[in-house]
Amino acid sequence: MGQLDRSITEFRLMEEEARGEGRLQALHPLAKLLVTVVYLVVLLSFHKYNLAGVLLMGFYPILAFTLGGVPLRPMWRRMRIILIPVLLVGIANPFFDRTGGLISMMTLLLKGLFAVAATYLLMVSTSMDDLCRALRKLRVPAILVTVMMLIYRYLCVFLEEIARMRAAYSLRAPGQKGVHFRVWGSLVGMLLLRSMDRSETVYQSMTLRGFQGDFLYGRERPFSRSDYIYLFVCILAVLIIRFL
Amino acid sequence: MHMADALVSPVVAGVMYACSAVAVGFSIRKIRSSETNRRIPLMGVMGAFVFAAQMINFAIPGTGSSGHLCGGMLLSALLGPYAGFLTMTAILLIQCLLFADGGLMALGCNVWNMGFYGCFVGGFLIWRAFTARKMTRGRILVASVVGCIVSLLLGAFSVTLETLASGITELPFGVFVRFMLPIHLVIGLVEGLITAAVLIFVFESRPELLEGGTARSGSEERLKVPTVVAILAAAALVIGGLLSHLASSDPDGLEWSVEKVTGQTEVEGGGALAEWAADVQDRTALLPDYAFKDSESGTSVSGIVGALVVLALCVVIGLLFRRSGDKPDKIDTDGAA
Repeated sequence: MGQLDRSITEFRLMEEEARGEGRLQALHPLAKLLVTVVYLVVLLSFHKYNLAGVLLMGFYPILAFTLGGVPLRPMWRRMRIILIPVLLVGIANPFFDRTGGLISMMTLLLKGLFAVAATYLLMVSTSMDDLCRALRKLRVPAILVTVMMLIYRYLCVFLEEIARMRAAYSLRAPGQKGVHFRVWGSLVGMLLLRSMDRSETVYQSMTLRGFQGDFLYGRERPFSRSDYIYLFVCILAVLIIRFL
Repeated sequence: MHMADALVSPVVAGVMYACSAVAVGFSIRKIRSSETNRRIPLMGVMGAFVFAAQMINFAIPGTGSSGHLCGGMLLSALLGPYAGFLTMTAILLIQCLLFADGGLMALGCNVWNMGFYGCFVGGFLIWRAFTARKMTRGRILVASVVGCIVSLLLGAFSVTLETLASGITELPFGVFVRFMLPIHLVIGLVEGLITAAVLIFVFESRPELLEGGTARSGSEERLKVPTVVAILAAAALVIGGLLSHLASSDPDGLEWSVEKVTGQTEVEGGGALAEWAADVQDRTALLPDYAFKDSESGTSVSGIVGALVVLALCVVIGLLFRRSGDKPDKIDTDGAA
């Protein structure tokens, strides 16, 4: 099944990219997370008619993409899916607001574009383990972060299992667009039962390794000079564009 | 139904983050009393399962299209509403951080629209109301379909309110609602049927796995159908009232207050253009308004051209420094400074 295979490939590519040795990857995860959050808050705070201001905010993704050498192609595919609802909401603006509707629509689309680009930059340059460590530093509850890490760890296993099931199903039922309603329950239900049993095995092995309700991977390291410079310069630049 | 960042203003994002954070905090407190450590692996594995299972297309008989599984309902029925909600929150966090599906700023909205309604309204109120006393195939079917429809409609309604409260669209409330609700009614029905099929399968093979699948002790919370309806109506009124008040009073309250503090002025709806000269260095009033609208639009056009020039410069600088060798310490600082 095309979509599933694509998701698995994309998942692996992202992880490989995030664990790379590039300039962006070398920065502290917490610095990147904070810059992304501040950037997004400021970007979304622009008035709907302030097209020039929003355009200027493109400086961050552009510089980060070019300097960091981040591949653009995977982002465009993602962008299409995300920008369609934004476009649907914004397309009404020129009709209902004859004077500035076109501007507000363009501003909205640019906000969507830059917001996805900024988030994409974060995810392509930071591994999930490092992100989870940063989230813990921001006092996100341990249970939530641990569950996130487990979901991430098992996602690939399940995606592959579902891809295999899907392949087996389509070989026995060729020409069908989706799963026939008669087997809706049993197809997914079987996988669900197996998953619940698997979780018990996972729990037992985690307990044997001394699981106490919280665990973290990712590298622990202090903020370096470049992290501080990155954090300071990015936030300052964003605030200058917003308020000057 | 994932909302993108562009659809929310910082105020709405903040309000919804706060609402979702309260729900997360409450859920954590609720499950802490039970054996948390044992549940964590189950939550993680089930989260990954739901995440992956949502990628399966289920063919809808008689139509050419397909539907997906409703995660919130399924997780609540298997893990209980609190653990289910936390798992949904973790799934949405990963979708946002790993697939950029739903924005980081809109995460609070998404957790509320999909997780809260799915787990607490669909999974807690409706599922328990229908199945607490007796669990049969029919009851599971009705609970799943009603739960999915109600939680999806509430979610879609919240998306409408949140988008309108953010003040980014000119769509009138009525048009937006008429566009959103019928689609989600149909989606809810299909998702409900798929979820019911899976839950019925589990019920028939291993009933003890379902929330309330075996005999329930007397201390468990039970709700009757009229109580559920009353709670739902009250919640809809409160949320509708709060958010529509936000929408009508001042969509950009934060922005206005910030501008007052910084001394910037911006005339709403009056058509006055804030000065933004083509000279990029002299940007004391970077707030061009209502561009292309009257004879003064020239200033805004030049502003936009100015911004485009700056962006082009960023590209050039970025590419130049990228070629000029590896100096990891200098990332972004050269260009942005």
